[in-house]
Amino acid sequence: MNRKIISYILGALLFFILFAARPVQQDQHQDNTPDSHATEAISTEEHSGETDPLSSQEHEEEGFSPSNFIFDHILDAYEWHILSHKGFHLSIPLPVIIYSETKGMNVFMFNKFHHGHSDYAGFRYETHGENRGKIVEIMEDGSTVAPKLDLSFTKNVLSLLIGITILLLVFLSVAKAYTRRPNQAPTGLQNLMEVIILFIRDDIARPSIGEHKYMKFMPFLLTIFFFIWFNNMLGLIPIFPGGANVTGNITVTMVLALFTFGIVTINGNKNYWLHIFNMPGVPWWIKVPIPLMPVIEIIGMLTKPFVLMIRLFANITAGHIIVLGFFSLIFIFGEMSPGLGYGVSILSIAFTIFMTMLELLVALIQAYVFTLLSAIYFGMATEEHH
Amino acid sequence: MKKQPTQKKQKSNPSPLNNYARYSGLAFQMIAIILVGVFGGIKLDEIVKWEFPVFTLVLTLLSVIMSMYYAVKDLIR
Repeated sequence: MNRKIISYILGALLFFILFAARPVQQDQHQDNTPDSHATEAISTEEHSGETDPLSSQEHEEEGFSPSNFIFDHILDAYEWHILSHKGFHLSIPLPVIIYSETKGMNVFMFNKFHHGHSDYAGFRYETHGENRGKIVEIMEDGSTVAPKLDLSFTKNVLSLLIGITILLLVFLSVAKAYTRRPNQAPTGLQNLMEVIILFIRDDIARPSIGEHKYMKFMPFLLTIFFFIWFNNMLGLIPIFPGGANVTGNITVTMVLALFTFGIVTINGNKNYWLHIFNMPGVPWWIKVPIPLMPVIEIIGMLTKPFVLMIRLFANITAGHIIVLGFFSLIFIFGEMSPGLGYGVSILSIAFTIFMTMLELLVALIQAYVFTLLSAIYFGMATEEHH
Repeated sequence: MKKQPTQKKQKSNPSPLNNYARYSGLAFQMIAIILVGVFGGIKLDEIVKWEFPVFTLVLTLLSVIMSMYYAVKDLIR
């Protein structure tokens, strides 16, 4: 059984990698090329300003922008930034994979851009303007256009792979423990995981789905629970192996919610579809001339996975923003006077520790809620007439 | 639903978090129903181009009523 579960986990996670690539930017940029010219002009001016050491120092000191600081972390990135100190940047560059209609397939490492200071192979990393943080294609007339397809191996993808590696290490060792010591009391990691797996089976799947059908959904429920939980906790680690905002990325949560939606739709029985298209027990005039009730039920059918997506995304992203907001406070006050910055930092770090503890709880609760709601939806889809 | 002896405790006493989770989507569902009604009405008015926005008014009111009806029905069930 465990081997089967592991194989399910592997399969599902492979899908996550495939789907969790960066959302493609549509080239709406083409319409307002004058605008992009203008922003480019501004950006080049600022660059030339930065070459002057004095003004660059001023730029560094005055230029702390909490929103940029926070959003650079919240959003996906082409490199994994580890630390910066006085112009020295330590970061892991990741492969950029871009397909454009004029230039074809392009694969290169992100550090070719030198943090946006130079163009490479007809592409530019935008550090300002509308496409900030995106790679754009430079056309022949000098305008920039978002490329057709951006399948870059980004920070979130790497973080997903790290998460998957940890999941596999944990669960393969747990599975091995069951074969090595059959019919014996579990120990260590195996013991911990068994408690959680049994909790999901007995407190989530069985009561919500029903005694006869829950086994069919267990692989998915377990996968989704541990995937969300492990990735949530990885996101709480401040430095390299963690710290990416994977489960706070709406694409990732959308894929997770789509899996739930797909399974509900495939497994929906006669009773489920009857409740959607011909709800029993409502007056006929709500259904017959204008199909109000079916329309509302279809909206409800689509809202459920949508809310799943938004809930996980919002909770995790909000947690990251709060922690980064407390850190930003140090620098905002530090710009006013260094002493104030040091003073605030004590308070700020205390609050950050408190919030991180809270986020540790939220990480578990959100994984639980996602699993529970998925189980409830599966239960609704497979419920017999009552 | 059949009650298995081992399941008795869990089924007769669902946790408050379970109930919270079950109905936490209800507000969003109501919002979605009202939004679809309102935007559908606006779009229909744009299509028919009457002077008085009949569809916007009727569909907005109707969607509010329907969302309440749906919520109450969901809670009773």
